[in-house]
Amino acid sequence: MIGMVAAMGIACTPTVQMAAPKEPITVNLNVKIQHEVYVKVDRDVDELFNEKGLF
Amino acid sequence: MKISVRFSVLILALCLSLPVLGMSLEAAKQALDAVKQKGLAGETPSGYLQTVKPDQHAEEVVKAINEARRDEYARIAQNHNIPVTQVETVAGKKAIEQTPAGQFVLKDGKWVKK
Repeated sequence: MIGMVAAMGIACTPTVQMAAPKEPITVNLNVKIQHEVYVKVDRDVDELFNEKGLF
Repeated sequence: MKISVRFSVLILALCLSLPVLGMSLEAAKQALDAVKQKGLAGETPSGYLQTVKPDQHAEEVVKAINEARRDEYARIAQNHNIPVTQVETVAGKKAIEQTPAGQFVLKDGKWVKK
């Protein structure tokens, strides 16, 4: 009986662990994409500062 | 004779009405540095200029420059498919950072001399 419960516990653990990492991955991707946009915008704004005489 | 008088009146009227239409962008660009150095206008976190104290000339320069900035911000925002406010924020931060010592920047709603 105890052995069976322990076996079930072990058998169940992987499914719990499988579900967990899914969310952080999408969050990280969003951060990465947003950062990329900021870098590009930054470059455009820099050009604006250097060329147009508006600052 | 009469026609030429009328014509010159028309030209004169046009010349007088031009300043009312506001300052040209080129004139504003050339006046910008002096206006900032005199402490008449400063940079704000919104990415736009603002007059530090009421001044007709500075007001016109600020208006012309801000309109041109707004167009450029909109263009950049469209290029990257992001809201204009994000471009304004990046530009405002950079403008305040790059303001040389002795000129005004708006911080927490108050004018501060850098």
